[in-house]
Amino acid sequence: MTEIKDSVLAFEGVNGKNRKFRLKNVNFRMEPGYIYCIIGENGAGKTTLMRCIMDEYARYKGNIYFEGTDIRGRHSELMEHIGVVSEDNVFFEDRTCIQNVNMLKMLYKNLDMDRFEAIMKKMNMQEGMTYKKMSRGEKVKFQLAFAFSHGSRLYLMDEATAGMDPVFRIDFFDILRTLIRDEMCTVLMTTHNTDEIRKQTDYYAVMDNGQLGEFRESSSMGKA
Amino acid sequence: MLKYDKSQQAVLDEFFKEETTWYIQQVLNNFLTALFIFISSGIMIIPHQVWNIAEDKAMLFIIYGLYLSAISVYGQTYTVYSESGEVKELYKVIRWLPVSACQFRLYRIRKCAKLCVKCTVAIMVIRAFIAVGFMHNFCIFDLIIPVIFNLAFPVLLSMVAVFLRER
Repeated sequence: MTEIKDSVLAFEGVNGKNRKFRLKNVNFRMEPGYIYCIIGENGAGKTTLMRCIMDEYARYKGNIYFEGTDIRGRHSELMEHIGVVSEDNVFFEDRTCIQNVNMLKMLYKNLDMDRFEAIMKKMNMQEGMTYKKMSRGEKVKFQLAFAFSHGSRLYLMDEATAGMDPVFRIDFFDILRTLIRDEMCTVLMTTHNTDEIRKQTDYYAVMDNGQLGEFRESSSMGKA
Repeated sequence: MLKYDKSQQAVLDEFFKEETTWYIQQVLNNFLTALFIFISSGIMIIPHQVWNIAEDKAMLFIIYGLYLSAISVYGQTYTVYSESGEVKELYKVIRWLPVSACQFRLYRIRKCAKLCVKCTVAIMVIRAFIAVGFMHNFCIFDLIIPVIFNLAFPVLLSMVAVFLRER
């Protein structure tokens, strides 16, 4: 197993609680450069696990390490390097993509507008679109571009591909693969789609009732 | 633990200076704040010798409630914004961005505390001026009461709220 200091993200004996969902002794380590996926039924604790990383006030026991350092009490520093793509991610609805980024870039040390514009162009997205008028897929694209523009090293994607049309889904994973290859970043995503896991991700683990199984190679999914 | 982070406060200063999403709401908030403070201060500037708060608790309650409302409305400029006819929490936008929730709350306290200091100084000066100039009878309560009611209590109240949230 990868050493904690060499892993992008490591969970060590994490027990947590978020409203009615629980995490029970979660342990894993993620190496840079791969797409990791967590699969599980609704209420299994997938989002709770993500929230332990993203939420400043997440309640959990055990340790979570990002690039070898405990994340506790380092929320602002941590979020400089983490990109979130989620339906729960909130932006200014009445503003356009570019206006949103212009507003929020002040909160980042290294947000690069050129990178943002480049990836938006690559995804055929118009910067002048109002956020509330965007489709779900377009919002995902925008969030991905935003995460990319501040040089995220870890992408957390909570059911980001749910409801996406098949054509865009392929494009989406192509973009992710390019990002991972060029930037040596890592993706942790949750999904319900087993076909997507087998074809598009590198490792998967099953979450059941707050317990996370071992990460296995996605290509071995379904084999005995 | 509560810790004041200067760099994060500077970032938030910049953010609120540049940000204009809530401009109209900010104007409305500032107007209501000024109105409430103007009304409550009209009574609060009356010297202790004329208006003894211990003997007129009902009035104190109303006037002080108005003053606290003014501070609360002013603080909303830094916590909520209106969009598509809905009032939304600003924290929800920045919760997964590189800003600490604690620093975000301390920022609001800092802004409200600044307003409280200005109000307290103004009320103290006017009270002292009226007491000395018109009544020729200055009382130490003319200084103590504004410090306690207009500055210490509102700031302490918001600090306790943040401290409890941070535990």
